[in-house]
Amino acid sequence: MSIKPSHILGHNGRYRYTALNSRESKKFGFSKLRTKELLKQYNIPTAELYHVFDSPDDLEIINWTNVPMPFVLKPASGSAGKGIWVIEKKIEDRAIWIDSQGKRINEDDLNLHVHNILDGEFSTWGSNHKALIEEMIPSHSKLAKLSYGGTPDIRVIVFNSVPVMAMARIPTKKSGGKANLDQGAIAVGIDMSTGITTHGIYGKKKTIETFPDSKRKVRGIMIPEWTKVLETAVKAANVAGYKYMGADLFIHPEKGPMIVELNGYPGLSIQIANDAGLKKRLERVEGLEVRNAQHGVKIARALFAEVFIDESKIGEGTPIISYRPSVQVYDDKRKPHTIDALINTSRYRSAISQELAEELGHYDIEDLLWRQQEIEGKVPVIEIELKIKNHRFKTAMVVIKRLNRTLHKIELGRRDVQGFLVGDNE
Amino acid sequence: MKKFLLSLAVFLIAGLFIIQPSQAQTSPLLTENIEIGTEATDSGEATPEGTLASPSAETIQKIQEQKDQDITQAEGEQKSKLVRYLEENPLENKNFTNLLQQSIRNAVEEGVPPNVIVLVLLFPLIASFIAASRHIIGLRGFGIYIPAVLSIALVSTGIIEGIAMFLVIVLVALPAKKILTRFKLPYLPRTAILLWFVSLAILGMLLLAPLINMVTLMTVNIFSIMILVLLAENFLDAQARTKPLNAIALTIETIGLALLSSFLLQWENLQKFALLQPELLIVFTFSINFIVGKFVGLRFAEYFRFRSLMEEE
Repeated sequence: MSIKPSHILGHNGRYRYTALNSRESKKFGFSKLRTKELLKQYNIPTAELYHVFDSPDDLEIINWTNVPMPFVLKPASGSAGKGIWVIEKKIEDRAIWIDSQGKRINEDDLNLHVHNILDGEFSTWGSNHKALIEEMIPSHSKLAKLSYGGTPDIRVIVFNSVPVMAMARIPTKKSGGKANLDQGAIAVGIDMSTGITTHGIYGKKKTIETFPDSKRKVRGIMIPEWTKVLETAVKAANVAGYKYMGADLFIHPEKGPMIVELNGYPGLSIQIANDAGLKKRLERVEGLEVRNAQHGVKIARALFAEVFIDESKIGEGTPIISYRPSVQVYDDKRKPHTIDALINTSRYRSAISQELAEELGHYDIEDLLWRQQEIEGKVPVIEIELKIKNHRFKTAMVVIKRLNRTLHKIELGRRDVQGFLVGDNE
Repeated sequence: MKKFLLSLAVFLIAGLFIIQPSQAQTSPLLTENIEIGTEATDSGEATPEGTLASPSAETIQKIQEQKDQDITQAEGEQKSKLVRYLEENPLENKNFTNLLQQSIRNAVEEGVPPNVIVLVLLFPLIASFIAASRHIIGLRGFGIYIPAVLSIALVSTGIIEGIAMFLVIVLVALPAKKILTRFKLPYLPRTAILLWFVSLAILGMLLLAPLINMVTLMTVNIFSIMILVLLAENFLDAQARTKPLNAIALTIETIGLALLSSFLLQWENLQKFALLQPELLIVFTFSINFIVGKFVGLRFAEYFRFRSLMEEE
């Protein structure tokens, strides 16, 4: 399906969504310190704070050699990565440090940088400038080999407690180790369902197939701890009171996903990196009743799954199924049941009979994703694990009473038969 | 509390400097002096004519011509032209729909310069023009304030001279900023030295202007210069934040918007319309912004930006 202009979120359209955020929540987007305090209060992981400078007087009490290595020195309310110093190493027994670009830095340099931050050189808003020293998050080993220098971060757009789109921002030689698209970092779109990367862009528009520094393929990288990444983003949005926002996360090799900052006005390039329109996704999520972060993530996985044509299976040819195939569905104890199905391409989403759903133990609030308008009225949509031929996947199915009376208990819609050929001789 | 007392003390000391001379001025002669003083700063060119050796008659005439073309000048030909226009088009039936126009006529008769009234009326129109080009076309520029004010500065300095001056400021400020990072100075003194470089560059231009006979530069007023410095500061800031090419694009967009706006400001029919139909103009500027603000579709530039999404694979 090609993307229409009405599926794409522009600046004017974004205003409608950012306007839904409360005045209270917007304050978190302007202050990293405030965000940190909040996250700490709710036990949501974030980089540890070592010190806050309120005034130049604090410089008299700080002993730089005591700061745990490695650390980051940055303004509390900067934007676009301005004024962030990443200090990676300290030279033994001497008061000299090495930053992420290999530059040598002494105590005077550190003091001067704190002075400049407090004078407001890097702040976009406000007049109460503060400087922070915090723990530097190292790259996860899976992502470290892709990036040059700094730590890659993950941006997740959350709306109505549902993660709707995500990308990884990967530093390059050109971006000087910074995960900032304006400075030449690479953006990679991520499939919401699996956490596997899909497309890559460079310089906010140019599509790329491989990373410029490592020459590795952009597609098919599995982001570690994907479910936790999404859940952490949603939890952070909920505690800060954001209806629409972008969460930036690092993935710590041991501690897992951590929030770096929350952004009340997330950028729009994420759509190019995912080759998908954000507005369409926001419209599909608006008004859904989401119980908690786990539920929100479940909805996202069901709604925004990309169609993968599994490259490893291309050699075996496209599997053929009959128009009345036998498929396997899994009950709540993950035991398979063989069921007669019918392919009905007039449907988009597959349907399951209500009685079968009850038998499988999936007809309860835990499995409910959302409710959808059908001929029978507002019916539930539930998560079902399905196996067609050798292809096993999770999908969302509409629960319909009409199918209680038919021979086939499942109708397969267009969405779930993609990648199969339909014919008489199986 | 300590901080508050400190700022109060600074305020009081500053206050003393202002109050002291005015308390001493009981004689009317001194007050008169002060008035003359303020007038002289408003039009910086008055001093060289009076105190220094008198410039050649040719230059004086050129300067006068320059003032006559400049709508921002309070004593130029533009002003009397607008006054004449008002006189040529008298208001026939006075009623409550043209109350504003009646008051403008009264004010002009009492001596309020009509060119200033026109500029004040057209300024929100310029701002709306910039807002609309952002919201519908997608031109970015440095916010709305900088291009709007820059357009008035360009009207005053002349387009080529204004841009030339901006380029000189940037060409001085860019290397100066590079050199200054080596000294490892704190932010504020560092910025002050940057302004020192910029001011010297402008001084150099002013000193050069008579030698190369650039009359517009000779009549330039201080506010236009300050606005150009402000633009240069925005450019340097954008340079630090994004790619150099992006900073240049932003600056060119800003200047482009300011140029188009300055053409609008100088359009004589529009000036006359502002004087004869101020009520219509005010309602129009308000409602056009309302309509533009309600537009939620993609901007023209965004069709271009997201074209890869819309292409069929």
